Amino acid sequence: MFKRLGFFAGIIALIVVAVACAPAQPTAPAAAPKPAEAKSIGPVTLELGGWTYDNAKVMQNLQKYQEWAAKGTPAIDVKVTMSDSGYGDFDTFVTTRYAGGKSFDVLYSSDHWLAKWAAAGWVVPLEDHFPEAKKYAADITPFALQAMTYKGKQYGLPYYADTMFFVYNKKMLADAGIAVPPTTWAEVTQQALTIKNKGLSQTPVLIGFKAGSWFEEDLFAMFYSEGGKLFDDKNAAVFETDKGPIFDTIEWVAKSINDDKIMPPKVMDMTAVDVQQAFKNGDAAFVIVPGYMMKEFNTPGVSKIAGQAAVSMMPGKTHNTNGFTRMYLLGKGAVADDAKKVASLKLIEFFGGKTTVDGVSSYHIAKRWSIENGLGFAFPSLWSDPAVDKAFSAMADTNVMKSQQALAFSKQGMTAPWFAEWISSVRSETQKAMLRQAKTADVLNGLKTLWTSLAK
Amino acid sequence: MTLTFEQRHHRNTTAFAYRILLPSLAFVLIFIGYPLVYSIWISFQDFKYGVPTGNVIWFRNFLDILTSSTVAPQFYNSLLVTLKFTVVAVAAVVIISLGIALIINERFRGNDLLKLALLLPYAIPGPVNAVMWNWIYDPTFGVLNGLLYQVGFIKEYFTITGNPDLALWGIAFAYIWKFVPYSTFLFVAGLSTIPQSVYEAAQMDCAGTWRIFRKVTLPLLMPVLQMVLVIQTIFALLMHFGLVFVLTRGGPGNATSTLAWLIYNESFTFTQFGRGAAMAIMLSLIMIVFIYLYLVVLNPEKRSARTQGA
Amino acid sequence: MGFLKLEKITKRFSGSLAVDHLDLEVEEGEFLVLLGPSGCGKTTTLRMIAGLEVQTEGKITLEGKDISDSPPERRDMAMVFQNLALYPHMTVFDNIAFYLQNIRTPKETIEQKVRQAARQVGIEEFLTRYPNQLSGGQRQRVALARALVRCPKVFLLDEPLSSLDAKLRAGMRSELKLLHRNLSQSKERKGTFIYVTHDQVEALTLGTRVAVMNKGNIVQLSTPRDLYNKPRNLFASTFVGSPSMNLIEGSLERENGSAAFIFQGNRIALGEIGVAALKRANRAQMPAILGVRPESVKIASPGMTGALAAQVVTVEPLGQNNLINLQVGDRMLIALVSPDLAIHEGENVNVCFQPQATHLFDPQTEENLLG
Ligand SMILES: Nc1ncnc2c1ncn2[C@@H]1O[C@H](COP(=O)(O)OP(=O)(O)OP(=O)(O)O)[C@@H](O)[C@H]1O
Ligand SMILES: [Mg+2]
Repeated sequence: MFKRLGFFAGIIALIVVAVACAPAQPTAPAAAPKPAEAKSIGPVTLELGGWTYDNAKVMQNLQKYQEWAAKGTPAIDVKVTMSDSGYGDFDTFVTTRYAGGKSFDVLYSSDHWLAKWAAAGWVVPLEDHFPEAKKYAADITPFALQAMTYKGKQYGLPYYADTMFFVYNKKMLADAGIAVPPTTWAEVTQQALTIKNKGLSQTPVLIGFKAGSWFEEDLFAMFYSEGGKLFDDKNAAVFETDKGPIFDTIEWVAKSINDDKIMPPKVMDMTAVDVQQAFKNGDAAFVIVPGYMMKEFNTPGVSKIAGQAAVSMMPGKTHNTNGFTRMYLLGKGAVADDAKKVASLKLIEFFGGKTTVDGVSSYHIAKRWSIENGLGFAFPSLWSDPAVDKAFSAMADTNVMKSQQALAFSKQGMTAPWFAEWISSVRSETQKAMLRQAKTADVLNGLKTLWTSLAK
Repeated sequence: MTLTFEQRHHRNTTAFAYRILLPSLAFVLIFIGYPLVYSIWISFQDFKYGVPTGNVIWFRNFLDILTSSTVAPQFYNSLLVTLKFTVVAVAAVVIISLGIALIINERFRGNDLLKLALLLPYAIPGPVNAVMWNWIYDPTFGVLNGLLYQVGFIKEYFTITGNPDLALWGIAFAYIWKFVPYSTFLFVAGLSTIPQSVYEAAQMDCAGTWRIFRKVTLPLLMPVLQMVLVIQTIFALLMHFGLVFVLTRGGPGNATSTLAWLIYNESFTFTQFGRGAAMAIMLSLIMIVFIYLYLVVLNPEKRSARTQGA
Repeated sequence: MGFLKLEKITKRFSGSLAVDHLDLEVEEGEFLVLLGPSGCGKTTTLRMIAGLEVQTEGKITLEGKDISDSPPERRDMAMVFQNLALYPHMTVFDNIAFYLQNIRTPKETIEQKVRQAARQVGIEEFLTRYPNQLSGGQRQRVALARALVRCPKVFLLDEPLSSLDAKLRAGMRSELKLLHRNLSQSKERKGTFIYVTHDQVEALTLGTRVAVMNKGNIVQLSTPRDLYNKPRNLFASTFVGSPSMNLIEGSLERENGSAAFIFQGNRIALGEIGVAALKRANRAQMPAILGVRPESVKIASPGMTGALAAQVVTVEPLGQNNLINLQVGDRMLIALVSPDLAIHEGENVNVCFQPQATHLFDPQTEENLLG
């Protein structure tokens, strides 16, 4: 009898031990750091968590960083390894990693994930460990700076910042006898109908409404263009639910799909990439895309409509748009170790700030992304760099770009840690309204209530 | 205390059985028991933005899921979507694979070709399958649209995964395509255990094709059928996730937001790990209910009498 | 004209020849036994009659109609399978009732018929059991009942009594015989039986005619009596009868008006039989095999003419008879004699047999020299 009891006791003990050894739970950020005094630091190995994008170039940049750090004062002997996943799953990638008790030293992030990660303590405020971050603030586009700030603290330096643009096909409009691109959403409808009736395009307007993070980049751009305001500074929901810009925007989409048929129902199944592909293919007249797409749209061989893509101010009452920011963050793993911390801060500064390389002081990496990949930048001063101006002039009207950028705002509400949960419902519920499965007013009411409940 | 021989014998054999089973028992406890206990423990925790607050809130997460205004509607929607999907997917997989298995069992020419063809969906890994169907269904460049358009069946490219009335069935189709082979092979194995002479006897007894199927094949296949139903139900409740993840991400609206998708979102997007774990436990309970129904409805007592002995 | 007729039936299984140009006519109401060694094609023949196997060549007609292409369910035949093929998931009752249920017989009729069939084979008490809860013999009787419950044009029974004990087998034999007699006297449908066995006692007691099969063909088709008394060839002569017929190789020679069988210096006078055989072969002398059944071997008093000198090797009491192993020259002979006869091992005796009790075969063709 006792033998058997002992056996079960052993098993129970086993379970208890296993549970006790369960993945460590996140704890508060480490205590105040000690300044590094050593003449040379390292060797250190850093782990960079990022999403997959032009990895060859990222590797080159990391190589440059390692060489630069080795020559700095203090000299740092550092190696960086990169762990990546697709952009769409990057949040999950990071969440799984941290839930499993591991962490990164430096991470890529997008504006809408910052609050969640910061609230969970997975990333720490950059300005606490790197006061110099503050001095960059003056040269950073306001929406990008706001995007990198959580609870009043600056958490990162920008990787790139871009704006959602209203882009049209010049030739298609000319063929339809339209001289000026639309300035209001009603004009979009009119012009699209003309284009469709002339048989120039069966799907004149394409906006990717498949559930995913580009969904809200598009939607917020449209909300802002009409002067929509979702939340106030204290993250209280202030939007009207039965009229007003938000309501009108959703109704316009529903009407475009169901009545005017200038947008096909398949937009519900189209990602941003699908839309871009279709536009390059010459299938659409109007799209909403991030600025960096202009380079691709107007590159012969890559695009069938090279030379025909043009930017225009967002239609609507205010022409405002949504700007989004990707940034470099300091992972909580880095601050546990002095050498790691110094190397990580240097990495963030080398990638996201202004450094002197070979005697030239510049936003080297941001500039490289702009010139070579067409990515937008968060530092307006870069416009005065002739190389940058040249690169952008080749792909779009830089005047329109600058004007539009001046009217860009980051996504309201995203500093609330429950934003992810709310936006997930926004996607599914607005899709229903767009497909007329639900009344727009009901949907907006529900979303407003949900926000309030989540905030409690 | 004196024991009869029989009692001693029983004691010895039981002890022996325990000793033999010990390693596997430990294995089960560590690899199944531990995660189970762990997830139950997680489901009792209060989480705020990915961090446990340290409060054990017992069944609060479960209560929230069932009653709160923020989660409950989504949960019930997902429950309904999941049930619809599971019933259709399981029924279709079982009926189609049984049909194919019966055809294969007929040993006709081209039989091997059919078996080979079945290996194709079986061999394609889940994620690759999802990506493949994404191409097929693509509303702009998709193979399906291209084909129907060329044949003149449709005038305009259309969307399946973007249509709230079709999306779930689009996923179901891709799912069924992938999972039919597996149960077909199980059925083929089951059918091969039925001696040919029993069919011949039924033929001599003037039973028609349908009656042979109803009165001979089906009852003799019952143990395999039960197993297939159980496995397929477990699969259908979980393994569609990759397809939802790639094809629809729960949309449009929440037409394809199954429980598995919701749990993933709760845990990894909203970092509500406690709620996610609670939902996962509820999903397991649903699974158990299904399995129990199969075992009770498909009446096992009678069968046990038949299967013992020769 | 033949009730059931098999014409030049051949069955080839991927290379091997199971049945080879077999001809057979079965009359209505007949009890035909297919007797032969294992692997000679009995089951295959039966399955072709049932329609479970399609013949490679040849034609099968039933009541004048060609049924070569009819499926089993259209032939109206009942079968007991050699491997029983009971439905493992049905009770004994349902096993027996399945046919009746299939043809939509009223419930009460089924109940009554099933009980009657079960009673005939003595398994009434097992009706609610499943096949795997029965002994081998009980299962075999279920299989038999499954056929007997029907009233088909032909009963096809493939070794239906093989796993019964001797007593039960004897009982079932008479039961079958009785059933056949009752059916053959019935007005509307006479029971026609085709019964496969390799047990000669069954064959001889049950059959109205017996077809001895060997290597896919029928070597002799005759009444049990003729089969025993006039075996047409060596195979039939040795296959039927137990212990089997003694065979002695030698030569047949004419001998001033009479004939004798000579072997190893021994001479056995055969009289008319020998003369007839030589005449038939149109020869004065020829090699031959002499066959004599053990019960026809007589132990003669010493010094009797025409007798062979033999030594008793063993004496095996079988109850009713004693089986005597005798050595004649360098060959063995078996004799069945009455136990009353005092014979001891090692004893020297004389043996003789009546000419009418002997059979003569051609060693080349193995045919009976007298036809
Ligand atoms: N399905 C088959 N495939 C190949 N060969 C077969 C098949 N069925 C029977 N045979 C062969 O045909 C021959 C005759 O077989 P059959 O079963 O008719 O013999 P049998 O006379 O019934 O023997 P037994 O008394 O042992 O039952 C055998 O040599 C057997 O090996
Ligand atoms: Mg046989």
